[in-house]
Amino acid sequence: MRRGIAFLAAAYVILSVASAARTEPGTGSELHDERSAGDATVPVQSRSAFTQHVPGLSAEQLSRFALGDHVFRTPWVEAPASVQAFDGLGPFYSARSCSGCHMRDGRGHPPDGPDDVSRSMVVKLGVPDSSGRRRPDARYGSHLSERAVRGLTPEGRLVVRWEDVEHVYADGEKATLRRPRIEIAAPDYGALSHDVRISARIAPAVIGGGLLESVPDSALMALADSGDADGDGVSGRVHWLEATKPGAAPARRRGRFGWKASQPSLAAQVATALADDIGITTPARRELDLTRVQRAARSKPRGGEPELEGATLAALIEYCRLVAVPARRNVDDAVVRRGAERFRDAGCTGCHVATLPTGDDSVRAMARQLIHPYSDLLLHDMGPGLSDGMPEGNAQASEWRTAPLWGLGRSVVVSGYLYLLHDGRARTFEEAILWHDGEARRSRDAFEKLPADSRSDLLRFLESL
Amino acid sequence: MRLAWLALSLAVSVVPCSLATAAPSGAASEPVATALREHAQLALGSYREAVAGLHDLQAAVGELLARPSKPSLEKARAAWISCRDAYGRTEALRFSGGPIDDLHPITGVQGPEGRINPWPIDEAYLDYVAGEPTSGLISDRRVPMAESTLVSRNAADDETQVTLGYHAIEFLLWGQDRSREGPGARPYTDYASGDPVRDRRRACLKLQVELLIRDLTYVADEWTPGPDRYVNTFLALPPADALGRALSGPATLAAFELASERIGIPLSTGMQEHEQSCFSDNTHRDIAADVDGIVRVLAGDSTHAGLLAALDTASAQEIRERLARIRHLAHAITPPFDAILSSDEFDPRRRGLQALMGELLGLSGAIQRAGEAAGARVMIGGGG
Repeated sequence: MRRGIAFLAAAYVILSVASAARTEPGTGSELHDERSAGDATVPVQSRSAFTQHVPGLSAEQLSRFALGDHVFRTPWVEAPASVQAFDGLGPFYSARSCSGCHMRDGRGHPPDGPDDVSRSMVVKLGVPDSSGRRRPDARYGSHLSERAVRGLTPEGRLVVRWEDVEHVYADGEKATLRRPRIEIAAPDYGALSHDVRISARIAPAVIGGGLLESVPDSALMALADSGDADGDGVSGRVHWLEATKPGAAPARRRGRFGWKASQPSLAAQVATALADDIGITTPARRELDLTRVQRAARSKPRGGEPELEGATLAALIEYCRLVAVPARRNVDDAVVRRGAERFRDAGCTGCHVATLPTGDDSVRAMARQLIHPYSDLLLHDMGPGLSDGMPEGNAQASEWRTAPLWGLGRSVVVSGYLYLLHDGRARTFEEAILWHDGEARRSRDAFEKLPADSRSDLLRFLESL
Repeated sequence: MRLAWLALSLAVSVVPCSLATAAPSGAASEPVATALREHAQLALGSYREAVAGLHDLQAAVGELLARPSKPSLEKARAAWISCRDAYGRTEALRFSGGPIDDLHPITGVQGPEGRINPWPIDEAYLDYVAGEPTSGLISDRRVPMAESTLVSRNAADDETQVTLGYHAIEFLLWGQDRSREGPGARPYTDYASGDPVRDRRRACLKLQVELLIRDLTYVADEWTPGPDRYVNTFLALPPADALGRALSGPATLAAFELASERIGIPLSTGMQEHEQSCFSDNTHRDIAADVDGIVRVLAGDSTHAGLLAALDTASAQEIRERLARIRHLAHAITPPFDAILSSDEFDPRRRGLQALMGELLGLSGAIQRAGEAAGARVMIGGGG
């Protein structure tokens, strides 16, 4: 018998050697693949783990990456300034640079409590209309900024109060979760609409953007199951975006970036973040989120028409495309391997899909790879507990894009903390899992029913990502 | 040829297949092992030299604080420039999984580079700037001026929030550089005691130098043989992996840090703020010192063989020729660097920098090819 096991183990090693370059989805080996992003994986595990570029860039690509990196980190200043290249901050803004929220390309964090200042969190506003769609607030628009240029008062201040929520496992073990209560203090243009919905969201990590962008639409379509035809309780759907360009032929694009998959491309994601979070206009977003009552803000000097364009903007987008993903750790650890199997057996990989293919790409390390983002980039109903009350495009209030899990195990090293879910309420992987509901209910139940040591194995697997 | 840093960083077993492509790292030839041992000694010597320079700076800063005057400020500035050269020559040891900027293989502690050389700086975060006489941590008397403050406020929410390291000290010694012709012109009276804010500035400068010494001493210690020291782990690696790491340092410094970040971006944006040592106008020397460090790591010095000794003769010869050209170009940069940034495209100084960029990128490619030929994987990192 023992010989049989040894033989099997040897066969496994040979199999996994054979699959080192290309893991085969469905064989199980994908769950133990150290190379989260195929050839675009980098070995760096330090606090710089998220700021590396994919391997094998040409000199020209490298210099574009470096320029993009620089733009990402350079703080914008108010216009007019002696620093011509980077002026035009605000008038309202959440941060002065991209890295102001995504420090070292990592995640953001919510305020600790009502007296803490929010730094890497943005506030979206929405007022549902009669058809259930989201409209901007009449006075504040669809975005509320907590900072403003000199001579202007910020639109308001985000106040977060945390409420404890007790959770009891099947085996009697208890966990204390927390839920935010969000208000806007000191609204500068008078009261917000009485039925305004406020969604506060932390900044996600920036890694692997180009790989996610390169996953063919057909692959996402193949994963989508909006009517839950296969009856597994999970019905991922593509976030179809309506083209909003006036005069353009109606077109629908698939969303894949952002907490609600509301952005179809990295270029769109970058333009949106620049405009809404830093107050920087680009050719794709020439108008900022300023309402008619915000007259003083509208008359503030601008840093150009638009403020960022051409090669510099292209370098920033290219930077977001080329940021690599760090390799996993401890993939050979028996605990981690068991945890990966528990993760799969609980059905988590139904949405946190282990393997996606990338398409053709001018960067060889990114082309035709099998990557392991642990996401299907689709929208799923996560239940009322996670709803932010605000539909966004065609995504419902309780629908969220499956968050990619790759790199999460490095967050503490890169950023010094780990906060999960859109508003950063979860302080641990366990808390994040326990908030899962809706389509993820079955998987959460499966997790809860696991014995404590199996739950712990599963968490160890997540830490290895 | 596995991505060895990972295996080493975590000191755990790694799936034998996963990151490996092929593993011709076995029977290391004696020249490779010797070159790696000498590399480790050279690294130790380089960091010791940097620490010694800092002790000189500490003495000069002590003198400035004891007797603030124009000459004592000038002496402190001269000591900064001198110790900066010594640190610059260690930068080719970054980006190679070492104790300066990576996780310690045994303790898991993050290397102190983020406290040593953070840049660029939002000056107003630390001290007064033109038009904002009360800005910065130094003016903010609600916060105690203590080491813990400087550490916790460094890059608290943004990487430009710099409170520590060479460039923060440089800013405190020179002040903002408001001219194209000369460096910053902070008056020595900023260090006269007896005023609460000036006393905070005095305390700040003293603490910054102390912490910098401690951090670089830690790095030097890790290159000193001993149990649990990084150097022991390094020398116990399969030689091809150790060689790959060591070569990744100069390759990344040349291609990413120097050619792209520190020369390419200032040249293409023309912004003075984008030059490294903008307060002291010392950027030309920073570049030359970095290049000297690259030359030393690859070609060795009078007592240690460089990494070229581990490479085949033809590759070593090619790299040697490239190093000679790079050295010449780097030492020919005419200061001040910020004047070159505003020059036109035909300016010979700009042309010289562009040629240097090209050579640095070429060097990095040559190191990568030579490493490959020796079975070592050279990573061009994205900086830190």
